[in-house]
Amino acid sequence: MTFVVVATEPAEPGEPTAELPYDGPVTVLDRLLGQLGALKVPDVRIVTRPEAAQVLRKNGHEVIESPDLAADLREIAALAAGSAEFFLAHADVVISDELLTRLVRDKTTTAITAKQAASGTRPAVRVAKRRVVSAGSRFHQVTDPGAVFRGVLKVTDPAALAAACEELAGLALADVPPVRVLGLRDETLDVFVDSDARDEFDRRVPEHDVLGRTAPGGDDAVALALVGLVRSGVRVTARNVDVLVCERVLTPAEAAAAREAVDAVDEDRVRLDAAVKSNDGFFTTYFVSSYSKYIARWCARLRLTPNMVTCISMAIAVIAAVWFAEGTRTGLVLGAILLYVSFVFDCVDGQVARYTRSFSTLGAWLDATFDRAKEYVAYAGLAVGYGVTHSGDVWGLACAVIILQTCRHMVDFSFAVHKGTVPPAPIRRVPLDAPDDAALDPLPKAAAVRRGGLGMVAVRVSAALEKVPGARWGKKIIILPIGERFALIGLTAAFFDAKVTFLALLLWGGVAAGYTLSGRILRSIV
Amino acid sequence: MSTATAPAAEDKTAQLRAYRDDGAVSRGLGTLAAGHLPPLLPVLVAAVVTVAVLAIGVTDDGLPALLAPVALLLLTGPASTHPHDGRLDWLVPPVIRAIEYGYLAVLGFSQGVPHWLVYTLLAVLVYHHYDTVYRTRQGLWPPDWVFQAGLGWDGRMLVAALAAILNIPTFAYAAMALYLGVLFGWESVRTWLETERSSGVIVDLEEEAG
Repeated sequence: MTFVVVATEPAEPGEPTAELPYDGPVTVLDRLLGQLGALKVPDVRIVTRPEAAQVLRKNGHEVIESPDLAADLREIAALAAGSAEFFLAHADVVISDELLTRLVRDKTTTAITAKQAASGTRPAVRVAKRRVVSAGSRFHQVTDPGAVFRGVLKVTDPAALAAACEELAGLALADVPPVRVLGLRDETLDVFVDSDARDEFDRRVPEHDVLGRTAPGGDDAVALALVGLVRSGVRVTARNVDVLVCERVLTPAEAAAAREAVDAVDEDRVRLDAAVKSNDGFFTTYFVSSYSKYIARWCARLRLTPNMVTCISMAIAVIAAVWFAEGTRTGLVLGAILLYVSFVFDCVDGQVARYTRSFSTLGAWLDATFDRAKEYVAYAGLAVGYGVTHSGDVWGLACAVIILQTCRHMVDFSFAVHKGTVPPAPIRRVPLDAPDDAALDPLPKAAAVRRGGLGMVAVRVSAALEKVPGARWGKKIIILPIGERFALIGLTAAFFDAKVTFLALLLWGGVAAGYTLSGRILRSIV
Repeated sequence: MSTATAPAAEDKTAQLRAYRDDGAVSRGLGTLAAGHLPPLLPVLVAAVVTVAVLAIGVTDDGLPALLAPVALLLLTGPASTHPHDGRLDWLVPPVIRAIEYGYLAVLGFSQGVPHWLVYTLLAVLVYHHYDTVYRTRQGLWPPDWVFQAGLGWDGRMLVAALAAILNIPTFAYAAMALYLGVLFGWESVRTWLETERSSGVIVDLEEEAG
């Protein structure tokens, strides 16, 4: 793991921006190096201009001298060539701990971006579906950009970076205006007007009064490295800064403003919010996740591991099943309440894992397996309880429910394997010496491949439904996800009896199976 | 880049085949057919046959129901070596599951096996099939002997049918539930406990419909 810090920007002649004061005697660079040390990044290199080297050395930094932009790129290429995981950042970047930690843990090539208009020291980028589609520099134009690059980059394919930087270093490039307008995106940056690329859903970042206003002009090897990667067909993920901070600072006023911005964010809170899965179902989102993250934080403070929480959840579900098996009204109501509590802890285990960043293979398996076990133990408890208090027997219904539910899951699993066999569309390449990214422009309508048939209708209807308010939740609720299932089991058992529970599960589950199967079959035959 | 991260097509085929959970007989028929027979149409026919046979068999003296596994094997077995790369071939494993579970449940109920025992056997099988999915997703494939010793869907259905002919269905269901429960449970828990804590990989095994 190599982290290269580029300190080529001068605040004053001979004074790099990296040495701007951040907090008393601590400079912006000191802070960044401290953060990298805390993250146990083993190999940190500083690239700077010969005239700034003296100042940096005096402050105790080891530096690599590089006279100009082409030499910067060659230096980056040489350092990247020998590493497995490579990071590139401006030395004058002020970044939140949380954001840097996330980037270090990212598994793919990732650039930190923000959804806003290009200005000052922020090179323009165009992002679609969380991928950097086009990246800009002084020498490379971006068509209809909707975001900016904030100067920190993680590369998991350093060989591609080395090749691109070598090539860029050998080119004679001329300055171009940063933005080209084709009208692909509306003025709010929020929607693509004419493109089949669905826009990113990231929050728009407000413009800061002080930060990022400085006119561009300095050498920006980091932006060029991003251009090189994107244009040579490497998939670069855009990580939106969201509420966190990642800004280049070129003046003392900007350094002070950046520090203020960093201090204004409650990073623990941000981490806790991020611990909640974003694509959960309706019941989970509104009746569990709204408060379960506080239980997760409490568990983390008690030093409970995610696996312990999973086991607690399982144990509660077993007790719930025992109450269900008693069969009386009291038993059913208590069982329903306990089943809900068990489900809350089921959500908490994942949140503790994400909050404390402790993931394990065993934990993932335990979580998934116990989810199934909890549900099927509850069915068994209900069936036993019904036999105790009624003359009939509902084991047949219980068997039907377990078969239906398992087969529904098998359809999901099997379809997921099938989806994985469809290769992703190749990324179009753009020559590194082309001033603009016209090679990425959408093909004229006539040349576009005609797609039709029932399958496309299904895809279109599904996409159109996304725009109808409430339809997004409706689509999630109809498939009877785990939260809705647990709620349905609990409510029907508490107010009626096991027979009603099983019949309700069969009915709703049957509708869900019909809905998903028909949709997926149609999508498969497109 | 993308080719390095996307699993190879053979892996996907192997995954769908593991989801099928074929036993020795089905695999033998598949080897004879050498992967030339497409899997989807026969398995759909097999599903219809199973439903029809069970409908007749349950009301009658039961013999037609015992023939279902044989008919099923002849239809579904030969396709077990097919790469399952057709557009709708992902439907095959769930349909096989529906047939297997449905057959065992209906046969068990009609032969007077205690109802809770039928549910228990289903729960054991369900555990094995979820476990197979979760493990292949994490690259911790169950060894081949587990699938062999687990009898496969074909073996389990044949055992149930034979037990019904020999008039020992309850014994067979109890023996299968116990044997398979110990086999699948022991082997899987042992493997999972052996896996070391992995370094920060976010794995989401619960892919719900959507």
